[in-house]
Amino acid sequence: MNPTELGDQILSPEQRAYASLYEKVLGEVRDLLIAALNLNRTPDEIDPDTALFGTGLALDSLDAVEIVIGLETQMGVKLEGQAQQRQAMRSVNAMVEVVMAHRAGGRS
Amino acid sequence: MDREATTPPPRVVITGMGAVSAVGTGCEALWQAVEQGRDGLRPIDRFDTSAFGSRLGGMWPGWSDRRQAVPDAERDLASVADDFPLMQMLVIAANEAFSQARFDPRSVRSGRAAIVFGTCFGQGFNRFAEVADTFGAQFGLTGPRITISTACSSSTNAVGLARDLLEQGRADVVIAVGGDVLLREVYAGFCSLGVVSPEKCAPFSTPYGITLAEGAGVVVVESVEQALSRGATPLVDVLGYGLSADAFHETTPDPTGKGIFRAIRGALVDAGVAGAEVDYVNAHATGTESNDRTEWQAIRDALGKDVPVSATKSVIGHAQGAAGILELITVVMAMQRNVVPPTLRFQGPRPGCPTDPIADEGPRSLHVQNAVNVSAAFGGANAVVVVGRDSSVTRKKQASTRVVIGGMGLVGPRGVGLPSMSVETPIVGDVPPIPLETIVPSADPRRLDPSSRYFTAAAALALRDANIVLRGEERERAGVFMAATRMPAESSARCSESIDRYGVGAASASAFARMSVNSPAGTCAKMLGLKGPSTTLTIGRGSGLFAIASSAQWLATRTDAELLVAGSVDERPRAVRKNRAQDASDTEGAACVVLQKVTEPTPGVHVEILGWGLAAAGDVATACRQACQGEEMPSLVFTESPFESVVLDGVRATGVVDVVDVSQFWGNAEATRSTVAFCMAFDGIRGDRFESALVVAPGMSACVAILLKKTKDIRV
Amino acid sequence: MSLQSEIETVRQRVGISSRNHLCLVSVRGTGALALLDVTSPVPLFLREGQIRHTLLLDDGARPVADLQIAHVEDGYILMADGVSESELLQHLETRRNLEVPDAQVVIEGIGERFRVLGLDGPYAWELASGVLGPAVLGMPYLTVLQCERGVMCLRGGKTGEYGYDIIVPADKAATVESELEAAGKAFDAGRISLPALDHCALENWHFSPRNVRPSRLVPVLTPIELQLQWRVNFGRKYAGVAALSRRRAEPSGYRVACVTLSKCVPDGTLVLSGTQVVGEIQTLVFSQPRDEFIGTALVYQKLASPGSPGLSVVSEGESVALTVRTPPLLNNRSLFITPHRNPYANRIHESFPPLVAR
Repeated sequence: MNPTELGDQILSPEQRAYASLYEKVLGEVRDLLIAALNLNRTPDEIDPDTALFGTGLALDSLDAVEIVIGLETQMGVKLEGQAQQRQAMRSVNAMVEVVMAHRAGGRS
Repeated sequence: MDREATTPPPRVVITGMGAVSAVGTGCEALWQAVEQGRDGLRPIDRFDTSAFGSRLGGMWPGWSDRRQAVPDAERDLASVADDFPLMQMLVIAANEAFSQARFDPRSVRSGRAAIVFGTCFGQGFNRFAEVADTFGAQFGLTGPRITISTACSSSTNAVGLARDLLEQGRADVVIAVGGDVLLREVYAGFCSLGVVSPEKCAPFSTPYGITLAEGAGVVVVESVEQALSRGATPLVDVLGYGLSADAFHETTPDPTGKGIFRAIRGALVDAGVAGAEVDYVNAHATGTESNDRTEWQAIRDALGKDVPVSATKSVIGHAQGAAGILELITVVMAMQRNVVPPTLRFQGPRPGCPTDPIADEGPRSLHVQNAVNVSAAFGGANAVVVVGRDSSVTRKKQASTRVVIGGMGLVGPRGVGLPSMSVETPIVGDVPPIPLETIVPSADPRRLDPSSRYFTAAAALALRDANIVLRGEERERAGVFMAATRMPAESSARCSESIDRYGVGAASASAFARMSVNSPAGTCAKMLGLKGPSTTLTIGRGSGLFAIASSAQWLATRTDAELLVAGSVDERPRAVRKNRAQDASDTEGAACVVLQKVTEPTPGVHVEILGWGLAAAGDVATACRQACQGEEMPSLVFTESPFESVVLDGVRATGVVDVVDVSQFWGNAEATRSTVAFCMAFDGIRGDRFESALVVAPGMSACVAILLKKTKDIRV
Repeated sequence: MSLQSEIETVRQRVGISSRNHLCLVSVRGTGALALLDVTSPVPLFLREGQIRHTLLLDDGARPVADLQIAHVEDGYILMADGVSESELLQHLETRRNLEVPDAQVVIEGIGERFRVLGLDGPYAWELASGVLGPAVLGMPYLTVLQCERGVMCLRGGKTGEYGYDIIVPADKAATVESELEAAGKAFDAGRISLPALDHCALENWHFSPRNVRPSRLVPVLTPIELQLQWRVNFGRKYAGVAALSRRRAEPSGYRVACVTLSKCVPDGTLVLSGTQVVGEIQTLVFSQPRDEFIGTALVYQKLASPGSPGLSVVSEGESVALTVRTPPLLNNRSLFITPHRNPYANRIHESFPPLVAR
């Protein structure tokens, strides 16, 4: 049976919770990128594994600064050091992962 | 256009210098620091630096007890900035320079003492030409007052333009000035770009990064004959200068170094000096990763050798708009003593950087006959000046080539194109949305602010109107001369807002990069691939006409450009803010014309620029007379704003003069109304409605006039 | 060289390849931009010297080729991976006739006049500049440089390392190739094959038409499923836009995700959540640095996020856990190498982060 016809019912509670959390953060990250970078895209057009630099959205160093600042001021996530910045900004999903880890860490 | 081909150009010299910098007040203080290998880079007291990655700056000690207030509801940024009046530094430097030059401004014929002022941020981020005006009024310098704002290369460009004005006989003395104050918001912007070093800057070495600073420099520039007749001592000859655009990125230079290369080559050709004859180069050398290596590559390529090079920013920091002139002053002082200044804190070269940037503890003995000063700036605006000793080099003057207008483009409150002249009230307001992707297919609109959009669109439309498609190397000989009187409003507002909302540690890097006055010109150059000589000028009201006149002059007398796009942009601020020094333009838009050199016989009908004039603000008669030299003055005059037409009685021998007051047609657009006036004249001649016209901008800081005429079948 | 050696060469040094699978077409004339504007799913925004990385879709919105469009001095060069020269020419002619029949444009297959060589690896920049000149060093990503001897150097790369496509006039190809090989000795360079390039592309989440398999669950995989929406815009005219818009209005509910497994399974193996079918393996390869199998799988959207729990496949009767990850899966060496600053000769003195973060 095609799972997409069933919707959320086929997900376990754990899967549902995970998907919900992930989608929330993905939504925030997409909104941040669109606003901070003046992207001419709707959120659903920004695929989660889209690269940010080089290929993909092909952002540059000025955009990078906007993102780092936006992450901090609007999502409360401060990227420490060049290595973390570089890793967090490889793709949209990479950013989502960093934010999710940061928030999970904050709660515990 | 102005000088006979046979008259050799006058030797132009510097006769007086004044400096205010991080190491103190006066040229002697500057020299002592250079000689002792001392820098002026200290922890900053003026504002809280805890949000930044660095605490160091090169502040002027004269303000060591002043603190910068934080803007709030009572006092906006401009007001807070006024606690640090740039004029104070300029006056000190000017007094020193005038004293050394034994120069008394009152001794100059009225209207013949000009000012060229280079600055990044002016006073309070909103006064540019006004500063030059105040400076002129302060000292009684009654000639044209020109301001160049090309970020960090402004004052190098200013010195070059000073030389031009003297060479063209448009002034008897020119005071070249550079100045900028270092305020928290500027520091925040550079920090957000990630280019500020946590330690004292170490050009060509490590750590990477700049140390910001402030300062002011003044030099008195005049012909050698006049200097000697006044009993002044020529200190050095200003031999030539060059300009170019990287057309690459808002803040990063072209990594091949070709942009800087073109500026250096242009300067050498203009100076008549071969690369082999250059003994020393004072590099821009800010200390950033992207600049230093690239610049060294360009220097070596342009000169064909590993010339002695050093970085004065290691002593005084990066003085922004004052950098070029302060570094030039350092070079001159060094030449006088047969030494070259050192680069401090050099501990081995970065990859691709010079191994020996005079990394001694003080100056090194070296007799320098010819020296080059390089400045490179945001927006890719490069300026290079060549100075030399007691030069017996006779530069052959380039015979004046003819200049025609190829086309025009305009974007305004009525959209694209020059609206019809039959209007009841002047056209005012905002530019409606324009289809940029159809006008400039190469431009991704994502990061274009309104000024960049308007100006790039107008430039592209002008090129299209002129039927010009540039390919390959042609782009290196096509430049952009833009006039703008303010910083781009939206970008400036966005940068301020980012600081207001999120604090100084979170200034928007992209807004900061785009808020420099020359940013739209840089963006236009990049979008349209125009890599030739470029500059950004203002004379307040009437600036657009001055950009056009300057381009015509450049094309007529130089060999490094075939084509220049000349024009202007005005952008209305979206929000009204308190304490504005100047009423903002109520009409936004941009207009450009394409000017082309004529080097081959060209059949057909053309609209030609026959001459142009520059005079003190309001002196329409002098400007018109200069413009019409040798030609009959037309009976039709388009003026940017009203003036007493009776003044033209002496200029035009016969007949009534019909004056079209463009302020009846176009609203208050400081830079662009004069450009619109020019477009109207061009359009009328091209459309066969009249044969010739004079376009005048009585002006706020200078008066400009340009003579246009229909010409058939140009023979050369 | 074995496949793993070739891959290692690309990841650590530089691989030289003949890119015979690419086709080249030139598009010139005043109407060139107009034609390309109705061919490319994304706006080009190309200045002279720039390259736009885009796609060619068929009318069903299936990506048939990875396409690069380079703006050169006298027009545009199209370099496509996934279609033949005649197919590309056909596609362009169809677009012209349909959308811009009056455009003044010359479309020409130039495959016979040129050969394409490739360099990929953390030191590709050094080898390229050694043979083609120092101007290569400053080339930004996705730009084209005109070199001596009519050679065009395009900086791109689909492996996550520095990559250059070198378009050489046919009569000079042998010479340039041997120059690269000779100079390559100083870099311990090696010849690499297309499968090695495709493997590296898969590891780094670069689209290759050969890495996409037909699916039983979704008849046509469009850029929406393939996470290639950055290469399309919905408001434009190009082949496949209607089908793509329909898919957007009625999504399949699946997307491809980056997955890892401890065991290999055949393409087409179903992905399960418990006993529920929630996806299908596209393709897997063994990643030596990661010591596991990596690849792509089509997965139900809600379970396609990295770290989604409870996914598995069946291999030889046993359930094997499937992990969705965030690509790229490697800390590519090239990320830590800056042309000029980190030449090959210095590598022994440098300590780079490991290819796989632990």
